[in-house]
Amino acid sequence: MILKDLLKQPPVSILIQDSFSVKGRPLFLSLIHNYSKNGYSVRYFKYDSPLSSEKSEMEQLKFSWQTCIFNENQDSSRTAIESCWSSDLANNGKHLVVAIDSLSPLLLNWTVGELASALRNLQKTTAVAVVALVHGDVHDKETVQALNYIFHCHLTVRKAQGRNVCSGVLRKGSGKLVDSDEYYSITDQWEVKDVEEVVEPSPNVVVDSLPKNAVPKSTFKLDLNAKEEEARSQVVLPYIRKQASSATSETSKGQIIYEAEAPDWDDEDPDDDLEI
Amino acid sequence: MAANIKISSFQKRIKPSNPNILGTKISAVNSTLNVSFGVTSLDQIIDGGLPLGSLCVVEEDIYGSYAKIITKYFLAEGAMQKNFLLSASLNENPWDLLNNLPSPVTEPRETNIIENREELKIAWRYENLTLEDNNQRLGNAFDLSIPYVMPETQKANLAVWGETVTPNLQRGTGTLKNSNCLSLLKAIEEAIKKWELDSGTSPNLLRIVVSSFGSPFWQFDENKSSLSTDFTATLLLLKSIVRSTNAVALVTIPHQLLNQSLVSRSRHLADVVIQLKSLREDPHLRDLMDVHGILELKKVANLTSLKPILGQDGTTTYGFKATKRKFKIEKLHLPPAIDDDKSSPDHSSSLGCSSAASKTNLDF
Repeated sequence: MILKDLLKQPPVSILIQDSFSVKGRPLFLSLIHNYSKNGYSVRYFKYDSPLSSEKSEMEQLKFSWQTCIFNENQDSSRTAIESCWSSDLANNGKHLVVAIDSLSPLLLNWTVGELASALRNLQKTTAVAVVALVHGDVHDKETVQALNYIFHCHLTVRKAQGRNVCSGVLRKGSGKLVDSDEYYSITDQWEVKDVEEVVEPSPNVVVDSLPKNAVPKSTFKLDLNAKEEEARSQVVLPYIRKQASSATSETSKGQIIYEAEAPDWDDEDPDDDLEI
Repeated sequence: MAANIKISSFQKRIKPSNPNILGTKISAVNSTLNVSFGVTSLDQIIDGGLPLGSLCVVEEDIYGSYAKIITKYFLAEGAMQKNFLLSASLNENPWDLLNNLPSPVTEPRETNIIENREELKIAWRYENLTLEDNNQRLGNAFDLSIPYVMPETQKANLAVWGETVTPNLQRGTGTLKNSNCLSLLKAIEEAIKKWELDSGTSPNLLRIVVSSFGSPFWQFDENKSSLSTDFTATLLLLKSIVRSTNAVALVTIPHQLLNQSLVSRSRHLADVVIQLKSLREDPHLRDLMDVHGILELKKVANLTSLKPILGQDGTTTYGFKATKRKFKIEKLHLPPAIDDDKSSPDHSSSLGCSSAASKTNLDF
């Protein structure tokens, strides 16, 4: 259950990984919106151009954040981008959140190592929380694994049973790892709500018992009707009769009665016929 | 009679003066000087610790949290023994590691003098023996939850290497191209020169800890062509440095992120290789009692002879438990087979023709 903790206070870095089928941008934006409402100062860097459907949504958001749009004309070298990130960092005591939307265009030109050291450089001077979005299906497995290693908290969004699910791992400062698998939904006001844990429904138990009348199909009438069943239950089995009669004489449960017959001892020497 | 005239060439055998390096103990198996890990249970498995002058590679669990605990113990033991410490890390500030070492505690000695012990009638020869483990205990016990406040004298024995120390560097022009690696090796050499550990007569040793070597922060992927040479060359150079001086190095690598061939090379290079695997990586481990993960000794090299050093019964797989205060390594054992209703649902579904709904034990 980490979404609640994330909403309260951002960890050092968060990575939201989405895919083509499920967009992660709503969760990303709602997290940032939440932080800006809670007094964090947010700087939003946009490297992805949003789809036309999303543009209007983003206009709705109060852009009290400082945004920086990345155009192709601009210098795309690493130093330029890094300086863009770390400019004006000396803030008036407010906590800073740097939101990067998204990392995928950057990773086209940068290696993961360069990104890692750029993030470290960002956090050298002041304590900055970084929230980044990445499109997981665009990169190869090693890159995604390395990204998961770098970021302290990584979340993946997917769909399950028609609802949005966010699952991931949060690495706390103490080294403790917290897993989570949660449903969530985003309201029109960009708020995260309905966060609840995903509980896998227990698999439907198939009662595998044999049916009562498991009689093989044949031409003989093998089942009993009610009368015959009653008669059957009234049959006294022979050993019970014997038991009842002997119960009066002895109470021993089981007794082996051995009567020694002819003595077993043979006087002949079996080795007699050997000629050595 | 004139005294002191040597008639024979007989020389009395005197104990060779050994410099008695701080923090080492002579191994009973092969008379190397062994350096304690700080975790007594780990020392017992590896014959008392790391041989002096060796390189130990720890293959981290995912995200490296348990490997970090081992490095903390290693450094804490060094601090207690007043060794020199060098902590190198690009993942985080290396001072963070040095400022959060576990502090030593004296464990209450379990004097197992059990007062009301009955007289042993059959095993009467054992009556006078205590139940204490008579193995030599190298090192101290530590408590992870209390950070160690280092005395000022010890603070002079610390060195670090990390992002804060090294600003933008030049790429190397020789075989080793990665600038981070070059700078690390240079820093280690400077520390050794400063503390005169290569003179052969120093009474102290240097414990070098490199955290998460090979993680993305080291930027090995900057130049794909030199990736493999940089990684292995650095380890090789590190090993040669520690071999020729009073030093021992512990390097942790995030092996899940690296190419398998690099990991294999590091296994060949290192003297001691330990692999940590936490529960979340392998859910089958949950069946094992209580442990938080598995520790495997992939390699324990014997530096002075051909005879291998193995555990008492040749086991190389151990489990570890990491609580808030302690980190302990123990032998693996299966939990006792309890009734079916306590086992996980996976097990009951494998019973086959019995009904999964009922929990009765249908024994045929």
